[in-house]
Amino acid sequence: MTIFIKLYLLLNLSLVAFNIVFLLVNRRKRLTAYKINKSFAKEIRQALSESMNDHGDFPLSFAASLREHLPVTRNMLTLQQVIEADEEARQRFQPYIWEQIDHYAKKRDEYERAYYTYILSTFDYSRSKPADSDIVKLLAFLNSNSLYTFSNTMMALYAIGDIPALLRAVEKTDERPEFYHKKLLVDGLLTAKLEHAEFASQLQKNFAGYTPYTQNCLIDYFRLNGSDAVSLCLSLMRDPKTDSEVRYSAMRYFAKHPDPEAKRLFMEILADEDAAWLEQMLSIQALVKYGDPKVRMAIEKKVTSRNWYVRVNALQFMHRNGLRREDVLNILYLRDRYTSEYLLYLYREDEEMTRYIIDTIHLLNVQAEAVQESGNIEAISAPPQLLKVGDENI
Amino acid sequence: MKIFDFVHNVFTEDGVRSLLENVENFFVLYLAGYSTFLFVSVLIGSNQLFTDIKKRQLYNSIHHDYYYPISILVPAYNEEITIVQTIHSLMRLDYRLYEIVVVNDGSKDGTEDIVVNTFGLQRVLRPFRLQIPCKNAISVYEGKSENGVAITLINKENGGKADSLNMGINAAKYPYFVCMDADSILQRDSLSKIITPVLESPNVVAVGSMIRISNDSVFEDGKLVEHRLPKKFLAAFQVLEYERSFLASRILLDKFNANMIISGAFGLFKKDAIINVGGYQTGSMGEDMELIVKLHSYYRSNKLPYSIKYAYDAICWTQVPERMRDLIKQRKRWHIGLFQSLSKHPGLITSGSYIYYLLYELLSPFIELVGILTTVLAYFFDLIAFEYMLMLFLTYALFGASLTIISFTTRNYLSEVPVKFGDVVKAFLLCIPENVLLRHVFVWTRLFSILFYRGKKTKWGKIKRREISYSARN
Repeated sequence: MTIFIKLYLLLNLSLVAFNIVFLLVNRRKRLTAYKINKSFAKEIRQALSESMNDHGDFPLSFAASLREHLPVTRNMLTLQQVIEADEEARQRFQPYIWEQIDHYAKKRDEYERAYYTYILSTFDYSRSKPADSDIVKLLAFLNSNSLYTFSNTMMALYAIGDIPALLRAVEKTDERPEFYHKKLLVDGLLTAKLEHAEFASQLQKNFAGYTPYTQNCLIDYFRLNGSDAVSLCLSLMRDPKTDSEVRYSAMRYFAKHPDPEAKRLFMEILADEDAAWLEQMLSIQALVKYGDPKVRMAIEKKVTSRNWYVRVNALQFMHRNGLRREDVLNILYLRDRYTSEYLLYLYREDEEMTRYIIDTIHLLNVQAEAVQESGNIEAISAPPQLLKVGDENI
Repeated sequence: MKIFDFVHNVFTEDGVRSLLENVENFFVLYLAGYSTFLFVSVLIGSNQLFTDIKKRQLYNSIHHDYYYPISILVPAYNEEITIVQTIHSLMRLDYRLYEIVVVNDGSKDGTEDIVVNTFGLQRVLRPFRLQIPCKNAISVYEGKSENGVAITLINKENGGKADSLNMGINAAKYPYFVCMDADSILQRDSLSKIITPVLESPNVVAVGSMIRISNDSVFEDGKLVEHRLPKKFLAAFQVLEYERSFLASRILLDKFNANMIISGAFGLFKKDAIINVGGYQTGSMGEDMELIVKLHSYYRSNKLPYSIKYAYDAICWTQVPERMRDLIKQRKRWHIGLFQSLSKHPGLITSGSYIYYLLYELLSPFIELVGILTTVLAYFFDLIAFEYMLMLFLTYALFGASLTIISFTTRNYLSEVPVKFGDVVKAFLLCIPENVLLRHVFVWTRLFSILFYRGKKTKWGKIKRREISYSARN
């Protein structure tokens, strides 16, 4: 047994010793690797304070020094720190940083590659765009497995706003086996500095070639950006083979951008008793902008839907389009607790209506109890007009 | 020596020797296994922390302005001392869109009045879609803070913490919710940190956070400005214990999607996923752990892709018990919660993390106690020499203490607000008693909690609170 104990002691001691050595080595290595290069920082400040030559460029000696220093990530960090708050200075250094693209593309350290693309994403490209050949090189960073390199490169591409490059980037996103969140793509495209109408039209031309995940993202982009995608979304809604998520996105598009043909499709969905609850709900949400009697009638029926979301959305629609007391009474007569409570919530700022609803619910309850006691169950389904007495009581 | 006479009468000496030897071997192997696990965990944990520094320095993170909207659920029971400070701190979070839902679980003190009056809430008749069963709401109040954060207070019939959280989930408007304790404080950037894993990985259903101890630390405007080791020994011991458990298991288990604990003090959940598993288990003493074990069980048995992540830069500051009886009460609750969770989901027995929690958490007090007794008996039967027995215990204590110090110094060295030198010295002095004394208090506490467990339901585990100012130097 003692041999076990000796082994245990030995194991513990070596584990603790290894842990300590590991921590010390790591601390030294990791915490000093990206320490600011003070002499280089001083050189940059000096160059910035000295007058520029006739072309606005830096003196040749400093330019040479930059080319020598910037391949080292630590120096790139130093430069970033010195010029961070000075937009003019940043613009002047931009070409020198882009010059390093080949070098950083070859770097083995994925964190450093991601950092380089982050730096590229921070510039204002409305004043000077990089060369097309450099943008092509930047696109190669999208082949990285690292989420951060990919995401920072996408950010740089959004900032540059070059349509062919972004179209290629969307393709790469589509082909990418690794995860890139829908939200990052949609929000990124929305912030891209480009001619959105033209970009959207190019995306629509290639739309069928994308996976449903990307298609879903793109429709959200069209919807939020206000791009014209009516015919695309209509065809997606009509095509029974469309992926369900893409179809829902297309339906959401029309909630923001009304269209008469879409309205007809939504009415068809509402008329179909077997339609999925999500489609019914999206139809009601999309029809909010149409206040005509036919729409109102179709949605009014949905107040009794078995699905809570459909019911609540129908009620919201009715409330938004102005409910009369008779309508309220009809809804209360359904004696659906959730619906009645939701009605109260919708009228939470209208004291008179709140009182009316509470009194009516009370009256309905009293009447239901009386009917049950008398044994005349059928009387419960009496027409709501009989209960208008409650209205007079207010 | 009656006990030895008894043993001699019952067993033959050779038989007892052989039994003791085998038990002792198992115990040493058990300890060696645990030490190795701790070693690997601390190694991987510290390496991860260094990598995180590099990632931070090199901007390797998701840079995004628009995250998902989040509902913050704050269950409260007799929290009049801390609730206002908590809500004030929540109103100052750096996050674009979120709501605060306080669920008052039938408090007997002035929790309701103080929240309604301080934040000028108005009573509303708001319906809830009860997707998870819970006790009835009595009244609902709504309002908005000056910076536009929606605040909802739901007064409900008393049903316990799990029931309150279920009510909060029913009332939550957004697709993700955060649950937290009414006496905890979230660091200002904590929401964006805790939601980031959702954007980084697919199928994230829950995200855990870093729980740090606020006793005696100094805050300014909700932000930590001075990190102090608490003056009271008991709280200081717990700081060491929290730091060790963070570095010694959370990070490693996270790498294998094997974390079975997300603290109830601060965790993020996908609402749909929690509704799918039926919400929090009422009557459970460790509803937070039970939920995570249930998520693992549900997604694994249905072969659905999922991940439970751990955002260790999302920080929540919480108070720990300063009185021994509160601490014992808390640990009893935790251990029974662990027992309930593991025994309710035996289907997970094939997973490594389940075996770890079973052997090194749930059964550890029994194994340790048997091991100690066996070692002592082995000494009396001349199976081991006294000096070896002593060395075994000393090494075990020193090893634990060394890992505690490594975890504490690493964690704090890498923190934005490091601890003072005096506190490091204090940590060195406290790590041995923490490993020897407190550890054994916990062993007995956990042992008795299981031995005397009668399936009694506990609703709220309360410890004595004290008011802490998070908005100014104290």
